[in-house]
Amino acid sequence: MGAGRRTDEQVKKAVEQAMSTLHHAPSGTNNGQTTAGGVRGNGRTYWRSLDEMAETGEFRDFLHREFPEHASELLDGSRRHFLKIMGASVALAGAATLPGCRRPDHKILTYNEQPEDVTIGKPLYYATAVRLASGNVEGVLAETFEGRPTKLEGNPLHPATRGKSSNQAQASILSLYDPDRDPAVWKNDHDLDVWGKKDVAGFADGHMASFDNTRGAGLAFLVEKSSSPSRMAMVTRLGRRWPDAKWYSYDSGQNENAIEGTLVAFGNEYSQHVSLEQARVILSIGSDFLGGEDNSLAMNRGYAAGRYVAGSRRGHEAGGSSMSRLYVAESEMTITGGQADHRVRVKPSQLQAFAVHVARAVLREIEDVQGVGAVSGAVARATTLAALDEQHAKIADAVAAELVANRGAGAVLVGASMPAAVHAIMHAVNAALGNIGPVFKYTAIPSHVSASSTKAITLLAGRIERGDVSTLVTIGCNPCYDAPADLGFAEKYASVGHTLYLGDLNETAAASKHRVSRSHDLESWGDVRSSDGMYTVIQPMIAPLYDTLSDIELLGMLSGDGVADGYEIVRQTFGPFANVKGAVMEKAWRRTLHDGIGYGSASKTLTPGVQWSRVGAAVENIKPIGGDLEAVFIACPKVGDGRFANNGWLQELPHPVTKIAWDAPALISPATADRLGITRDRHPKAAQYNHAQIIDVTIDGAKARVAVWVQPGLADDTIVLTMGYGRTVCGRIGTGVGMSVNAVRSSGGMRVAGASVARAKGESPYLIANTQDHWAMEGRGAVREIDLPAWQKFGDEDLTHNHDVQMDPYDRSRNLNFAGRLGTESHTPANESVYQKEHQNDHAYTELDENGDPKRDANGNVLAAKNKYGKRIQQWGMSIDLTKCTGCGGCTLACQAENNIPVIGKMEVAKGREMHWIRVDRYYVSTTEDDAYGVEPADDPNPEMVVEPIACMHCETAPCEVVCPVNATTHSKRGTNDMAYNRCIGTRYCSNNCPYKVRRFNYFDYGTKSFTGGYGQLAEGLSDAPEPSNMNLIPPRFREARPEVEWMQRNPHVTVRSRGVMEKCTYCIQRVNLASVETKLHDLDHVADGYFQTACQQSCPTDAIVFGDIYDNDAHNGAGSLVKQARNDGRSYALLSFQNTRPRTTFMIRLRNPNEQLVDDRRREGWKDPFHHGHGGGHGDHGGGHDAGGGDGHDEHANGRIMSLPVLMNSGAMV
Amino acid sequence: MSEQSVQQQEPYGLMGEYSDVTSVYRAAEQFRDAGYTMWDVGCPFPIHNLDEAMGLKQSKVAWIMGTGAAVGVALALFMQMWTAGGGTLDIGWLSGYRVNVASKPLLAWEQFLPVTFELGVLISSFGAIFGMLMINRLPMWYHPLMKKERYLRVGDDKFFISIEAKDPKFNDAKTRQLLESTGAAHVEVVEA
Amino acid sequence: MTTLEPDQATALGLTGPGSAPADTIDGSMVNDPAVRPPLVLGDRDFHSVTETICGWIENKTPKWWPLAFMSSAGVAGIGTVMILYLIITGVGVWGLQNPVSWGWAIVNFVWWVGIGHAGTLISAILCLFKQQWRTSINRFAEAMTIFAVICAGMFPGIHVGRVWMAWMLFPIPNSNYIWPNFRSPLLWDVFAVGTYFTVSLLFWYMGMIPDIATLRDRAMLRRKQSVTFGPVWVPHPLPGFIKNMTFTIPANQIASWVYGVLALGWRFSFRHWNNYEKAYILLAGVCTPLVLSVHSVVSFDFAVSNVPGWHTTIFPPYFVAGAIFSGFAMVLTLLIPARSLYPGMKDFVTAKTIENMCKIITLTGSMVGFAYIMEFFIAWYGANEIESQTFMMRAFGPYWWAYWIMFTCNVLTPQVFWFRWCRTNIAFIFMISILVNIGMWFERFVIVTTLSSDFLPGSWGYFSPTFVDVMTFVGSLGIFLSLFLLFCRFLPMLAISEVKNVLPQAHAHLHGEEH
Repeated sequence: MGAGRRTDEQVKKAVEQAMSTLHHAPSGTNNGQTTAGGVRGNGRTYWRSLDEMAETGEFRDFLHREFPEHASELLDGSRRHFLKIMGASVALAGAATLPGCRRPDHKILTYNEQPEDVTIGKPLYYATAVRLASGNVEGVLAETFEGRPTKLEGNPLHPATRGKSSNQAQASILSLYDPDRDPAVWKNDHDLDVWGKKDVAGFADGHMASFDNTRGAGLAFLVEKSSSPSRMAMVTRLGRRWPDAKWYSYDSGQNENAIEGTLVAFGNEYSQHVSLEQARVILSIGSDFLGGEDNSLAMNRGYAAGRYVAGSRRGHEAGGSSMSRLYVAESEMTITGGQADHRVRVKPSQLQAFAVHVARAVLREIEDVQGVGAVSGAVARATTLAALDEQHAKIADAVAAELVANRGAGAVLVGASMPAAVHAIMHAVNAALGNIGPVFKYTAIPSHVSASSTKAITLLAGRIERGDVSTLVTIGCNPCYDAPADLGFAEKYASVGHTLYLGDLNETAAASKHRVSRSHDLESWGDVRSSDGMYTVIQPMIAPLYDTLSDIELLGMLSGDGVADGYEIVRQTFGPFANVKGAVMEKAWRRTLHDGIGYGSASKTLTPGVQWSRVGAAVENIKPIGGDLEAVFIACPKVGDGRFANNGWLQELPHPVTKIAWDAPALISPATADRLGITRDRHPKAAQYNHAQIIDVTIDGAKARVAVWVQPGLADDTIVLTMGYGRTVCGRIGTGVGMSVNAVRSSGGMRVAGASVARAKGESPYLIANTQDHWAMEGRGAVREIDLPAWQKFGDEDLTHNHDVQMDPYDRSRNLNFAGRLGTESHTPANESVYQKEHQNDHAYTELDENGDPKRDANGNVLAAKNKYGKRIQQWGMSIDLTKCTGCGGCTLACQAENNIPVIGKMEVAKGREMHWIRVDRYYVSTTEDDAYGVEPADDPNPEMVVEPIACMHCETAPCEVVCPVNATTHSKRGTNDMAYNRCIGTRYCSNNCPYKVRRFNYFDYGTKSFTGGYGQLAEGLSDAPEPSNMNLIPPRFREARPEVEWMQRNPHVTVRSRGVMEKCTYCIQRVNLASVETKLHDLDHVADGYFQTACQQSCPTDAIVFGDIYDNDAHNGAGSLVKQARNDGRSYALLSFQNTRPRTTFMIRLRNPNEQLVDDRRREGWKDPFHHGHGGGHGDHGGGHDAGGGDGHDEHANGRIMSLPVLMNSGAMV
Repeated sequence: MSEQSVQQQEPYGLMGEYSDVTSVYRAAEQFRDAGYTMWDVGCPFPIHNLDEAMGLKQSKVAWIMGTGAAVGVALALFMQMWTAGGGTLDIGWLSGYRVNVASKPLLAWEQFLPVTFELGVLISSFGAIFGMLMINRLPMWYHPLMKKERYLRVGDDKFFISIEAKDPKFNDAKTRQLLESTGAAHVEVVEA
Repeated sequence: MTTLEPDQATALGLTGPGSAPADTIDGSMVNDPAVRPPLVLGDRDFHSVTETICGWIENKTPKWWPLAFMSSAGVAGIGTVMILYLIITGVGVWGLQNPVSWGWAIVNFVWWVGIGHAGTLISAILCLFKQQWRTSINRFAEAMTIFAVICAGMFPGIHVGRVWMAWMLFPIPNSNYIWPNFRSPLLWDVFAVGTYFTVSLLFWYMGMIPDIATLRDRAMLRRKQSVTFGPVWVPHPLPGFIKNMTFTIPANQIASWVYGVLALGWRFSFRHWNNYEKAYILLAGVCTPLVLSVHSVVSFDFAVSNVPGWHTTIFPPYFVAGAIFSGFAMVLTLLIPARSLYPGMKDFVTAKTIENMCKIITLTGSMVGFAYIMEFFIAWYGANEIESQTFMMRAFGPYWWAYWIMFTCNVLTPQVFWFRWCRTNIAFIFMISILVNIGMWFERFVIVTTLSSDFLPGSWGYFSPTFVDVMTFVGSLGIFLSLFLLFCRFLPMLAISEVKNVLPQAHAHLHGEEH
């Protein structure tokens, strides 16, 4: 490093500056706009000298070198030299987080601590909220390091989120640090004239003022939906100034049918709130309530609670089971469908018929509710009914019977693709069953949220066409991309004289005459109400990174009455909203900021009465859909309606069902593919890469060219079209990803439409990045399932002394529990370590007595090993309950945010190099009755889906460790399998030897080099070059470094891995360590159960993941820690336990709760003896089925159903 | 000093050329029987049983090699046990971190066998090759015999017997006679 | 095999069956068991042996040599560029992914190491078994071993993610106090391959010392006779300067110096020979278990892991058999062209020698085939579902084509050597030897790609190589051939002293004595 060009004096000065800023806590100034004025200068100028210093090569080297050359001098060098290096480090710490020191200007409060308690390296949590599509919001806690938000987690106090957060909310932090938000990028890359604050002020004073003469005629506002009271106040202000100005709120993914359904059923627009934990029978009519529809967090929570009570079998006592039963009828395959006990797979028109059939069957039975008769008559007459076939009608009758049997404890949910009438009839059904009240509650929706987007955009288009709009101010939404195709909105938009756009870089921004870049929710003031009315103040975590405005600031400036500072606007709204003034208001304000919720602000819940006659009329008018295929439009569960298209995390997150990242091809069922002549060969080009065919979808004469993917479990004659892709102006990540379906989405068929499909001629197959290409479990019992009756019967069996079960043929113990009896370990000899007794595997983790056996306490619990101070070494472990896990992928994202996992791009994912530390495996299970053996799921008309999150299992006898030649991965005393990145040379042997394949390798410099997704160059002519360039193939020396702003998201507690290094789940060791330190500081003996959570555990909406000390015997009044309880449960099993890897992560068997009347005899027989093996014979029979044709039948473990599928496929499709 | 320089003046010895294996073999037997000690046979390949004809003892290479094997095995075992930091070889920080690898014992000796074997082979091979060179006092890039143009055909098809002048039995005339009587052609004096 | 040297009258019979009596071919194949077939043909004396073998080095460079060397060096250059690109960019330029974290690099490594087994095996084991026909091929095979092991050693080196940190594989004292993990088969590999390379190199070099001394002596003789090489014309680009520069290369001076240094002063003293022979036979003794151990250790890379299809106890013997198999095939691949390109070589490398090698190939090929079948049997017999599914996947899964290429080339083709015609027809043998090389490469490919489907189907994937993968492998062939051509040009291809030793006149004819 040498003396360099910098004198000690300069370094010292830099250090002082760094320190002074660190003391500059968020309390900061409290005088409005003074410092915020020079936004771009703020912070930047302050740090100028350090910035320059950081740019010098020597400091860069110090930061980036893996082993700093002079590191040893820290020990033996001169004091002066030491100071120099330390100075440089501190300076760089500042430099790396450079804009991170941009404190917000107004006083914000930490969630649980006073700002003056800021400790470097210790995160602070602030409560705020994140706005999502359609006016939805989530209350979140933002984790900040020295003023730099790094991660979003749900706010535990918020009643809707209860500490959980959706994928989009979690990922929205990445959008804050999106370099494409920088107005300078817009200017340079897209040749756009982007306005800053001053320009807007000039526009407001000049052009906007001219509307004062016309009372605002000719002025129109098109805004995205928002529940913000402040924005409502701005609207009022604008309305006062320009009474004739028009106001439209628009959101292309809005669930209008549901709102209209409440209007039909109840005569008013309501938001529906479901207490699913109260429901014993749940019927979903195309509703993906677990997978990202409105309020899905509450739905997940309620569903999991009702599905499963307590942590063990106690909740499912024989006879008195409280486990709810889920019926799903749907056209797509969703994660809700994957959870179903019985799933009906029908196209949308039949789905309507199914709903009506259920309604008829239910209402027929209800005699004690007034007004029902009117509806049941209408229902019986409904023409839709004819569409339903007999087989489905049978199931519908069974569902209805069960709903009737569980009056007041049932829930019928309807999805967005169903017309309002179906929503209405199901409200009526719920009302008739008495479910409204115990299960369903309703709250009023603000009219600007509920108003129909389709109508609004149609009206606006009409006005523009008539020339009634001379100035259009658009906020947030992107109509030039996603407005209904029949409106021709983009051309109309271009014809407007003055268009001012506030928002992210997108198609509409590019088409606007004036653009303003928008502040992120984490850097601006605002307020929101969640769908239950709960009020939250959005407080900035950081001063705006760029010269940007928030929506209320823009509207405030345009309204021209002086108050244009977001903070002031929110304060002004807060007082009247909370009905407080003066000192009380100050107190309430602080409280609201602190807790992230406004106490008492939740809307009153209502149980409105059904207007029976209107419902009847609506049902009779349900229209057929028609068309060769029925197209269903769904918003992507990842990028939504396209608003998150530039978010790398969401793009790279595999779709929970298709496991496709970086795309959302159209989906069709295998049978339909065969009918249309679309090949099911996924590898037409190269076996390593999946490819999809290109088709033309025609709806009402409009045509869209999309890739098509064959997806088992889909309804036949249905094509699922996912919105949000094919963005042409988006940013370095999102531009050009996927194909747009908006061209065939018209105002007449925003959700469902009749379509026809033809193979596009001459198009080469389209690359699909699919993270899981094999969908059969091959009978390996990775996911174990059992039907509830069998569990109720056998779950309590005491197997400890059952010699036949516990001993293998060689008379060695194999410690089987209920779950173990269902798996491979029940019929293979116990696999034991060669190191017997004295080197028993427990030796490192448990206290041993003189015989070498683990010591036990009075209750027979094994005691953990003690450290040299006589304190128990906590032994960490995890349990994942597969009954609760829905496969949403929230854990994957949380882990990505927490552990600095890089985004690697489509080509790398397609190659199979995804970096996610948690993957969610998804398997299809064949349910075919007549030919149970050797059915490929793709050929199975009705496969079920199971999911299983897989991360590092932290095996006690980790196979990865023994093969590492350099001791880079070893075991800690706490039982975690640790990676020393510095030590790793990248032989990748550990990955080969990992039976779970959870290790991830940095094949390239993913972490440090700038990444653009590789699509940027394809903004035009998307289908011409369907495979993006893989920029990783350029040597890193010739690539740009990652923009500094992207580094700001990084968790400083987690190393950013370099090229050539293996990585994997660490059990969030940084959180474990932080908790250990905290407990030590408080002089506590050990980290109490639940004191902290791993990132995945924290985010899991159904609490399927439990983490803790597996030898904590005393927690919870002697019951032991939650994870210990889970591990002791009969449902617990270790994946591939016959390998004797002794994983610390265990799984709990998935329970299904089928209706006895809907299962076949074979399955019912299985309940009597679930451990019965399919072959019946001895183990020698196992190879019997191995003929070249495949179809080897292995054990059907769970409940007599086939879990095994052939290894060998005729085509390459099963590679 | 002067003595040495005088000795330097003396020739290295005598050298006689033979043209076939049998004659050189017979000659060697005679030189052996005559009691010469500091003499040698030059031949393009190792003639079978010539060691007996010359009365040579067993080579010591085997001993060196055996020692090498023992050293290699000991070194390997020590290195592995020490670096694994196990058992009695735990000598504080010198033995490194006592890392828990897959919950195996620190001294998992079974897994130390391959390296032990390989190191044993390596060092014993060094012993054989370098031991051989050492006993032969090689490399030696200068030797009086090599200056004789005739001797340069020893690697081709000629056989030589050379007797050093330092040999106590060496007598210029008698030795020359013995050479000639055993059928040597071109008996020459080899200059030092 | 159409280029026949004019002085090869005795070898004419080798160009095809029928042109000589089938039972003698070139005179080396005597059917009468009472008659010991001659090991060297052409009625050669010591001097003609020296002249022929040294002539290949001392005579004018054959015309084909620069052409062959330039092309193989060019290919080696491409390989080097690929390796540089790999190192500066990352191992992602190969087709590796999850779950196939090892790809062509390991395939190539094992293949090359396997090939590298023939030389030491011929030198050591055949030496112990007193198989004198080995003398004509052992030098050749040893050289091939060294170069194959160089190519092999290259691959694990560049295959690691951080090449610049690969020194951490060695037990070097360091400030972190972290030592290598001696429990890892990869570390065993480092020691096994390192030992094997070092010992093979020393063994090869030691064997060459007397022959280099011969070359040295001949160069010194020529020097004394003032034979020089040249003049060499060097074109000069500058007009007006000295138009053409010519100079004489002091070739014999250079040769006598270089060979002189390398010969370590060997002077064919029988006192030296005595120790030398002892060391040689002892080394042969210690190299025999070494040869067996090295490929066993390489097989441990797979067998010690728990990957289904890798975790089998049959691997060590099966790998060793395969190594000998591929090594002999590679020796034949190189020997057959060399035999017809170098005048007089056929007198040493006789039809009998080639036939013997064919027999070993059939033997080891059958052993390998037995192992293939045994793997299936055990997978079925062991009743481990995952294991048996893995083997079914090998033969009928996505990589079925690789499996059947392997099976055909390795098991079926060598069986043709049961027929005498096949093992005496040189062109045919050459073709089979290439097929065996291909088959053995695919054997390793099949084993490594077993990774593509292990325990959890959810993580299954498919590996395909990239351009860089392919060109790195091709480049290694170029490096191997370049080194080999240099060897042919500058070092004695046949062990001169050993060949002389098996001539009839090398034995003293003593009255009434057997020897």
